[in-house]
Amino acid sequence: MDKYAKIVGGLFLVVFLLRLWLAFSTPHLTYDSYFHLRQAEQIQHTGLPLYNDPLSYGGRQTMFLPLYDYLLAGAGFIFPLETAAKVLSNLLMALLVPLSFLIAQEITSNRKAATFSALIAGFVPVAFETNTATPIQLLLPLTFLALYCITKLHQKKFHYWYIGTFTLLSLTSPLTGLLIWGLIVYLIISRIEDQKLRSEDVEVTLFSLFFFVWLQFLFFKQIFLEQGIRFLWQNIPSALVGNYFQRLSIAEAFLYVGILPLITGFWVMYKSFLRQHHHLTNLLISFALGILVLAAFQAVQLKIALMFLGLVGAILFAPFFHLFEAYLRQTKVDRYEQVISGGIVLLLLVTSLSPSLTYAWQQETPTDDDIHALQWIKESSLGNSTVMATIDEGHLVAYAAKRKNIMDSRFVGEETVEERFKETERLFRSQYQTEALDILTKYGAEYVFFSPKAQRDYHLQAINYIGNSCFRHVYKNITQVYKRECTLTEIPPS
Amino acid sequence: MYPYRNTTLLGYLQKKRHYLMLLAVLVLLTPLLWRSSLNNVTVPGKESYYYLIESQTEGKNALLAHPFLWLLSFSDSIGYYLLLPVALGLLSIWCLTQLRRTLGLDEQEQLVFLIFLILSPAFISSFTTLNPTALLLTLLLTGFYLITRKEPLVRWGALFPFSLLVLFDVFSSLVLLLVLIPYTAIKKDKAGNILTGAVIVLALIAVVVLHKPFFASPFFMEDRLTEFFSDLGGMRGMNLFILVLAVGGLIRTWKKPASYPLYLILLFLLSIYLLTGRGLLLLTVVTTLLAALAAVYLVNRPWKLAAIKNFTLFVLILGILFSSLSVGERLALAAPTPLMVRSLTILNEESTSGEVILSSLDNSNLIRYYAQRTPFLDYRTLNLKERLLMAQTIFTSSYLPTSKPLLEEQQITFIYITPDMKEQGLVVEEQGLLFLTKNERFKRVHQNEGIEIWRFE
Repeated sequence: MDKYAKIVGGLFLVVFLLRLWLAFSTPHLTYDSYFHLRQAEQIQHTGLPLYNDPLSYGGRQTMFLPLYDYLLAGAGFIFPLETAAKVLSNLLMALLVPLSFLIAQEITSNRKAATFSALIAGFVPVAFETNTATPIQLLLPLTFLALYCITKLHQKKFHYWYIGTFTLLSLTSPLTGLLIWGLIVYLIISRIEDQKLRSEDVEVTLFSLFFFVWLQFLFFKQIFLEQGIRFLWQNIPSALVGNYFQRLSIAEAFLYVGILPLITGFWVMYKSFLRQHHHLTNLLISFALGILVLAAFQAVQLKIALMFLGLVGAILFAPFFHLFEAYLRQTKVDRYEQVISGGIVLLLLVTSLSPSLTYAWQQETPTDDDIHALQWIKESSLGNSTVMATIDEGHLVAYAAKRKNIMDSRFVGEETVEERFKETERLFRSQYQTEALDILTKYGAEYVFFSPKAQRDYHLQAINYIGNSCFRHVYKNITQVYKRECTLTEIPPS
Repeated sequence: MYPYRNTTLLGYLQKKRHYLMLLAVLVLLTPLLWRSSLNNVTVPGKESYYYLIESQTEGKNALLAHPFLWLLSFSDSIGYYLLLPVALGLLSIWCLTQLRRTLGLDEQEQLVFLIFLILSPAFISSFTTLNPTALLLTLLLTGFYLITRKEPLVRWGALFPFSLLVLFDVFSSLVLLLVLIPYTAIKKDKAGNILTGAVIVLALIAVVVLHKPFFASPFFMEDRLTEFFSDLGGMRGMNLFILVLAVGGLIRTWKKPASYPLYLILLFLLSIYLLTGRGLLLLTVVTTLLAALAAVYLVNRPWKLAAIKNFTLFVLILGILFSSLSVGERLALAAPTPLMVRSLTILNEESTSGEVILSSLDNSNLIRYYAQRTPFLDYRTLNLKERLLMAQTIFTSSYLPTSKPLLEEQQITFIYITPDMKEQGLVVEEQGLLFLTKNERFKRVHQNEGIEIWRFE
């Protein structure tokens, strides 16, 4: 094993351990992770995911790609499920370090430059959500493994590696479409620029496109038939679209992606786009451009777009460094190479590590008291009770309290999201008991879960109508739980 | 153009064209047999009933009104209605097997084109339901089959299907001329030129004397983007794989002079679809042709990644087959269902002639055909937009003083609600009209699996 391989191995360990330390410093997982914890739990018991979910939206049919949940269920046989989620997700994300090294090395054949890429890839701030356990954590390494396979298609074994990797990707997340989109953008731009298309690239694109589309139709056929083209926007309630596809200032983009990969990434794009001899550089640039276009048209969540851009930027640092090193060799500064390398490492640590740590510490997770309150509901309420909570807390209610929620953050396939979203907002903001009772009666909800998150989201100290006789304060702490005691009935029209 | 081995299934099919006809029979009869296995021996699709009623109304004038209505008026047997579109589909495929050279295809390309076409959702749904576009395509292809024959008398026979075509509407005449003019121009065919001239004169007569509209049919795709893709729910939409292949076909034929007429037709049909939401079957035929060119190229080109080639082609075939199966299933389950027919019979028994029934516009033809009553919303109504607004008010208002005068003024005495009206959000449980039904003036006459009939007294 050579020096750089050892460094990359060490980097992988450092990143993995640092992520684990951060993950275990925060007691719980981010809100969306609880959906996958429930699925993994179900897989452990029955071998199948919960496609017929009795708790989400009060009970509904849902559809999703299950690979990550199976992986999590598998890890759950080794560790307790929540621990397994933290270990697995951070292990997968740490794998981006060696993968970035391999790809960067393919582009530049410069192991030192590739090592720098690996270092940057390990500390992309926006990817430092250490307490998140969602398929994105599997999607990212698999996407870059697929890209690596594309670079190695001249070897027959990588044909099968690509087929295998892409199959796993297609079973992980519909966001695999981003890779295909990147490949298509690459082919289109190459064609426009009259560059000779590599036969392998066309073949891989065709295979990926047909296979991905076919598999998605197999899984999501019913949703496609019911929602038509609207499925592209994931059925997100209109009031939430702004949050999902928020725009960023340049300063924020620097902070989330990292200053160095962003600047050098754009520099490489500017200097070498379609002039590069290495097709992979062009492919990566096209991939980044494709994602930028989709983000601009709000077809992909900004956070996810930034994760991909940060990682592509990290890999593109290698060609930048390669050229920079070649330039230095022509000057007298060459003798200070070690100092310059050290300086770059220092700069990277300052500009990437510090925002990464800040990002990790700012993750929004439930408090211990939230979990206690939900466990209290689980023990004190009837099995078929419904709990009203904020939308983000929907999965947590289903996981920790094992009770029905009114709404959660999986909007696809649910026709009434707009109505439920508005009514959840009204319930928390309302001044009137009758209005709240009307909403709670409509959904058959007996409990209102009022957490510090709800206080923050709705800018409330307390729910306005509480104090009236129809609501009993049943759990009193930082988090509050109220039980509905009255029912609103309607008088037939006359 | 491309070598092929007879040992393959494609090679075998290529030699035995009648297997293609057999495939077409199988594909077109499957949804009908599937329906009958569900004890549903009705013509699928609510739109079919519009033409059935129109053909009954037009009677002897049907030929000049619309040749499709004339064809429907030959018999009133359900077997005839079910098999007529299938027969038209088979005739179309047979004509296409004879038009290989005219279309500039080699044998392999023609074979793939026909297989793709037979399996396309647009072909399956058009040739299993009653709709004039199916006859339009059949007449167009029959005319071209005749015009490409060597015998002069047979060639002049093309005037018959072409004359019937101009009796459809202006759009059909334009499509015909758009295909006929480039064909006769390329062939430099004197007789063809005379025939084209005759068609132009006939088309002008149809417009000026018979006042043919641009489109005779009131039906069009409202959600054009979704309806364009069969995989997103479009009953006559295109398979996404075929579309991707068609783009490949377009690239393959790009800037080749022989393809210019094809581009012209493609551009015309695409514009018509985007502007008016019609003509999807014809667009499918052109797109499928381009897709077939790309597919044959894909199969025959040497692939660097052999393992990926086999996998890609396998997925491609599966994708196309799944799309066909999906549309077949939807046709098998399409309205009217036996429950709907039963409920409409009850509506007929409970109401008297002249009473007005409120339901969705989609249901209007079924109400006319099976319940033999007057629907409040009807494609034939002149003030349809005004009535649609009134119906919307009645469906959504939870306030009886708003709904009551409207129901009384319009003499609506029955309300017919089907599950698809609830799915589309026209009516909502416990809200609007369904909330008002708790009032004593509404009496439920019938309820079964989401179908409700209410009497308003």
